[in-house]
Amino acid sequence: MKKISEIKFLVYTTVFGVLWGVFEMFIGTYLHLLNVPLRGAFMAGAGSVILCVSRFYVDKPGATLAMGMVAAAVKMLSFGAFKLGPVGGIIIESLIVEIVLTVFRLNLFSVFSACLLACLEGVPHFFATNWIIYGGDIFGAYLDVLKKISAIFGIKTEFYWKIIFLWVSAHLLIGSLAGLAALSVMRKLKNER
Amino acid sequence: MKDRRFPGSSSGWFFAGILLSGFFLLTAFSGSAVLSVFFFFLIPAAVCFRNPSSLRFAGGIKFWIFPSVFIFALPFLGSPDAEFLSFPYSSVRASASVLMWAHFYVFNCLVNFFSDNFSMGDFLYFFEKWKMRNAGIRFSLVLCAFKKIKYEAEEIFYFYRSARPGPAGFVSGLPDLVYVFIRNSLKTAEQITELFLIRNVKL
Repeated sequence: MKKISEIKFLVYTTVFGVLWGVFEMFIGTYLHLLNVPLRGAFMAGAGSVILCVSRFYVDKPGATLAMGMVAAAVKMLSFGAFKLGPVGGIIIESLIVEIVLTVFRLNLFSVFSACLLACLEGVPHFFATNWIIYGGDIFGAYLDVLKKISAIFGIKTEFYWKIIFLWVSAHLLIGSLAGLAALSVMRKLKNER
Repeated sequence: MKDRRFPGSSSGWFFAGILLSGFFLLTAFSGSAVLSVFFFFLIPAAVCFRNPSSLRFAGGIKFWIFPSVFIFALPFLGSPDAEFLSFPYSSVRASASVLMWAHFYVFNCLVNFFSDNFSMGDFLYFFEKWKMRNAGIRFSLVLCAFKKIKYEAEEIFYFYRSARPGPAGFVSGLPDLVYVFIRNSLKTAEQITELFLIRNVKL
């Protein structure tokens, strides 16, 4: 029995990790090439749905993180040169979902909040990856550019706060939709079992 | 260079790569310009010693134009304290821009170093050598499952698109699409588990 459970853990986490990796590799790259805004949040939404649903089959601590590591490895084989952002994102999102599902177990609340938090990860992620790639000076440079643009076009500080509010709200909306999608898929799979 | 005949022949360089990545991260989080400059010379020199082509600009010139123009335009946007060809610029911001660009370039060298010098065989050898058998099995499994899932995903997506043309149709059936992807992956996982049990694979 222990052996079956060990094999199931290894195989299921790998296969579902590969599924997420394939999603990231093809759809993620496609969205990146089209320069679709909030593509990170969309991919995080898709990833969190896969993670939550797969936890339905391998409900063991560490399973979600293992899937994330596999997905990150697959993403590293993907096209393009710089993959630090998405690879870091995949690992952090899987860690968030892992923590939520381990602490609260698998239920409506935990699935919904795991998807929501995974999508919201895109907000600090932007700052962290910029810091790693360009160093800490980049934020001072961004602020200088914003000040210059504001002076030229007469834009007030409130405008930027509104943009940030919209940005965070869009992440929350995508996270909520992902949570609902995860619950709907889980319901269908439960009926099939 | 990747040497597929002798997997593991570059394990020393693999460790060196990990060490160099650590140095690189140190430059991102430390505020010391002297330390950054030291590592910005050390890392390209080390990767060049192994394979000079790691110093190339990955992604082509088009990829580099935008960040380069952006980074080198920044000194002209900061508070000016000097002049360049009668254009006022910030010398503080200029030195920060040079460091920023160097940071970006060194990161590119490290990525090239890993993708140019290590093959799948090296990774498997690494897992075997350090008694991480399960990681080795998982790694091989990733490669097998990847092909199967990729072809299945392409097929599912093709039929989904032909059954639901247009953006509205595409969006409306997304949960069903995810459901089919997951159900198929589940079947793949069940088949592999069964195969592992029949073949008595020890973990």
